[in-house]
Amino acid sequence: MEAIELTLTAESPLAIGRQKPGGSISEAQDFIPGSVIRGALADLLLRQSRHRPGEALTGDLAALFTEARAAVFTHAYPGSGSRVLPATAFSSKNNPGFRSEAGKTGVFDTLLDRFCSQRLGIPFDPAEPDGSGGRVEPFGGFYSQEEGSRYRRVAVSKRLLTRVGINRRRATAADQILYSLEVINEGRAGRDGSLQPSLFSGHIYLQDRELAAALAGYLNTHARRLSLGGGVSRGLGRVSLAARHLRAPKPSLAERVAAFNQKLRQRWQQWQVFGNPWQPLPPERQYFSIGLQSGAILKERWQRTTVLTPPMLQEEANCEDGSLVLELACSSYAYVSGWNAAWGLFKDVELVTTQGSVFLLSTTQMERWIPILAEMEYWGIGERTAEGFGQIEVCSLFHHHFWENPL
Amino acid sequence: MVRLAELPQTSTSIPLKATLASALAVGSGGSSGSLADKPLLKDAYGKLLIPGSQLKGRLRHECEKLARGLGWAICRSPDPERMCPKREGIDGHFDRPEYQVEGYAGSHCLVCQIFGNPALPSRLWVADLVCEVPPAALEATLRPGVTLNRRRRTAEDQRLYLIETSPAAELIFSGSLQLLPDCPPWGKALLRVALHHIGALGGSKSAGLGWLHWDPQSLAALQPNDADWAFLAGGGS
Ligand SMILES: [Zn+2]
Repeated sequence: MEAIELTLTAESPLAIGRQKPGGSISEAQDFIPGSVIRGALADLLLRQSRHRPGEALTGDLAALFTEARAAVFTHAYPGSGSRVLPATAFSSKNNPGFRSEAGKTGVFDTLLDRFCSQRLGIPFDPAEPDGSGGRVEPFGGFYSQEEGSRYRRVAVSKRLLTRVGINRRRATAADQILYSLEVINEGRAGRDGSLQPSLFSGHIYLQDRELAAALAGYLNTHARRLSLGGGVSRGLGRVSLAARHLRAPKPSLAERVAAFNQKLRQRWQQWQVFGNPWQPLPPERQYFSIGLQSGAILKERWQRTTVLTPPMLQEEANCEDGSLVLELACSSYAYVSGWNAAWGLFKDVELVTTQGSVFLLSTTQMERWIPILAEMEYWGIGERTAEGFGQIEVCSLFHHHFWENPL
Repeated sequence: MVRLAELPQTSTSIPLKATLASALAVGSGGSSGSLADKPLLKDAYGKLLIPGSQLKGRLRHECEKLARGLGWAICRSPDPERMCPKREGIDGHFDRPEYQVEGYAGSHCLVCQIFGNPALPSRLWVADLVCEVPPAALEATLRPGVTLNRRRRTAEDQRLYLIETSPAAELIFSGSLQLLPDCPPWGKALLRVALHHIGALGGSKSAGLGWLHWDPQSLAALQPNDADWAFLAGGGS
């Protein structure tokens, strides 16, 4: 597995619309979808190779975009190395935030506590970690982890652009024609007067080493200034791009799964005080979580679904495992649409299981699943994975941080 | 067979630089943070800017005039119904081989081949023109404006408004034009002449605002060759 790390630096406002059925398209996204990066690159390559619409792709273009294991373009999230907060992350309702910010009581994860309480049939009702009894609620968005273990929330800032339409006949501004659209800001001025451009980072995953090297080289020389999203011919959507070809990082999944199981069993022991009569966890069973790092388009027997079920996972992995059980699902869904520039049409509206959704599963055959899940962390699950949908993180370390030790 | 390593670098980026010779009033209603009815546009860092959309619109308008002057039939932007490839109610000699674009149905006039239309993507990207002077060093000025009643040649009551302008200093704005790989080669020639014709941007030109001159180096980068001129001159044939 080869990886190209992309760093995108905004050079002008980005109009990356969030398209909802029936909604206005002027609302801006919080990140750059993989489909937008993939589409912009494909557009540039097709123009450069003087490709005729409707003709089949050949050579490197086919390997990148249309072959069975086409390259995966993940979403580019704000900051560098940011991750999606799991749906199980909670923080104060009134004053949410990581403890790295002054006056915040912190963020904690509830996945393992939910599992224990559900198994014991006891309602789980967390309160604010400072012991004040204040209310907590899910804490979403993106986080980055700095050296040490300082966690920080990462977000984009946006503004509404108002532009005057031009009356071409008179070559003057037409006062009555105003249009506005929401854009991601290209950056902001720091308090010391320094300029901090908006940064985004994502990955391209692909199989072939030579192709990865060629693509990284191409991106660094040809696509230094790629244009993304709407309004690119009139000044919006300019980003400079840096690509780094990485040796595929060694999967650390086996260790992560072991650590997760240790944490889970420890937590189960702690919940023992509420158990009457006390039941140990089945010793032959191992547990793993799958967290969605991007929205996933899941289908089970041609039906849309928003829950990652054991049959679906087995089919996706081509791995039969009768012992696989879904223990817990924390998920929600949304709809997405998109614009296909090549077809000049709206893409189908898709039901998407939202990023941050978490599924807890267990099996007696963990060793079979580890290599499969490690591959899935690159290739994603569900449909339209080439556009960054269905990226997963297995046994995120975030789930190790409980109420009494908030981040 | 397409190989990434062998693709020619054919997308041309032309840096644009303009020096403002008078105060600028590129504003819009609806921007906040100013007393003025028409405050200046600024980027996220607070730097003054002339939006790429406005410059692109002006360039298109100038290119349309030039191409028509050379005898080419040109559609009527910005109304999509009256633009190529539809051109409802527009007469002219559009049915010519130069107006065929490979892979796209209908015919597309010279200007559409550069700037795009509802069917054809633009082959020119125009960036915002941004003033590099730090915002703290600039003091915006408010100027009163008055709406004239043209028929009675008098100032209308109640129509006094405030325009925010940049200080009347020689400010340098920079941006760029990006010609995509499929932009026709003669596009440079049209754009070069169009830039020559744009002597002012923004509002209130008649009040002496927004006059600018282009850096000669920007124009030099658009130097077309004889074949391009010969092609453009053939509009009447
Ligand atoms: Zn036209």
